[in-house]
Amino acid sequence: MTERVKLTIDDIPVEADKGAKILQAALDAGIYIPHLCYLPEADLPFGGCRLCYVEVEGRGLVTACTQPVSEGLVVRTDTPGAARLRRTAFKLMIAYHDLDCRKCWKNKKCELQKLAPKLKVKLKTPEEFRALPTEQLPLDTTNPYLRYDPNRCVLCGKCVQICTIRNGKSLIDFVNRGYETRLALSSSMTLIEENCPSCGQCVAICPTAGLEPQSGLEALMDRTGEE
Amino acid sequence: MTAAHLENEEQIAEEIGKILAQYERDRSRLIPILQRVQQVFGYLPRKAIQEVSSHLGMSDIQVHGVASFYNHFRFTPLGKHPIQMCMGTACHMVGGGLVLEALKRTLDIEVGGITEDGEFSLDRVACIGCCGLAPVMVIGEKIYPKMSPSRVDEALVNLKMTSSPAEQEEGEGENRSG
Repeated sequence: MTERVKLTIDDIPVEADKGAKILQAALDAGIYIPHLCYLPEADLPFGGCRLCYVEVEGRGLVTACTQPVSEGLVVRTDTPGAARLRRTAFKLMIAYHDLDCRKCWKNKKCELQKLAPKLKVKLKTPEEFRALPTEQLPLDTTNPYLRYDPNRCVLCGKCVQICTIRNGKSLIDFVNRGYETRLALSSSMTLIEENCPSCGQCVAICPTAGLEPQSGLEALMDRTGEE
Repeated sequence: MTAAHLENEEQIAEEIGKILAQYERDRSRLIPILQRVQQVFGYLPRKAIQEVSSHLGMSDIQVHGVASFYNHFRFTPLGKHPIQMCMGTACHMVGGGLVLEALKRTLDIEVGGITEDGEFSLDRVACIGCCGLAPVMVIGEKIYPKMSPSRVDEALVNLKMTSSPAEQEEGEGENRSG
């Protein structure tokens, strides 16, 4: 049996497996911490979205998905510092996101729409980023089963993680650097037949409208559903 | 030694095979392999990325992702006259961006691209090291100091001339062809 440790999160006593991360311990105990890129089945936390900042006594502000629990740890999810960092992270995420939600096929099913009220951020391009130039980027339509929309992707990396878990090597990955960072599909380099098993996991896990299923995939997912 | 003249995919694959034979099938070798490939070809051909990825058991897009992260790696061959436009702080402040725009417009290529005839390739670099001459453009080995958009045509015309042997004399002294 794995060793258990006791900690407190927002004054609530919580017990968790030794080595577990604060975020998982909190979620298991029914305490909500905002998060987006976290995937429980991944070997290592991705730690990319920066939405799960919490304050740990003696350690300061940390991302809950990367910090392991330890005996007697005192975690606060509601300090002004943590809230401010989470809001900044979210604003950066939506700074270049296409926020014309009414025209988006993911409207009302989008994770960003669920997160915004929890973080007390309006789902509008934040004031400080409004002066920056925006351009519509072309969609990647090389894969017949799915379509990648860089204008709606927030680079959370969930599809990369799930594809690595499922296929051993990711057929979708980050390319370029900094402001130019996008995801790219393997099919944009080679032919789909040799590569993508079209399992649809990446589309299913995408929190935004970054990956959109195409008719080929829907048919396939329906078929596997019947079996 | 460069093998940039190899256009044929089979030839590229053969050449890559020779390179890969010298490296273990281990992901940690990825960057050394890519560096070697670029040394031989002058750039990373798409075929090379496919060959390297299958050698290391990675997907092609993972290899592309790593390579595209680093400015060192390029995906298009260098032109006969490789153009580097400095975008360091000094050059940026005195209008390097306008010169770059003029280059893009005149050559009808994007940064990182190459003209259809293979004569010119265009890149932006961080600093050449002679900020007093800003904005600076470098073509091949020759430095073009205090550039302006209007001087772009002038610089390129001379190079175009030397490219056709009949008109070699007219471009004399203005450049050395790559």
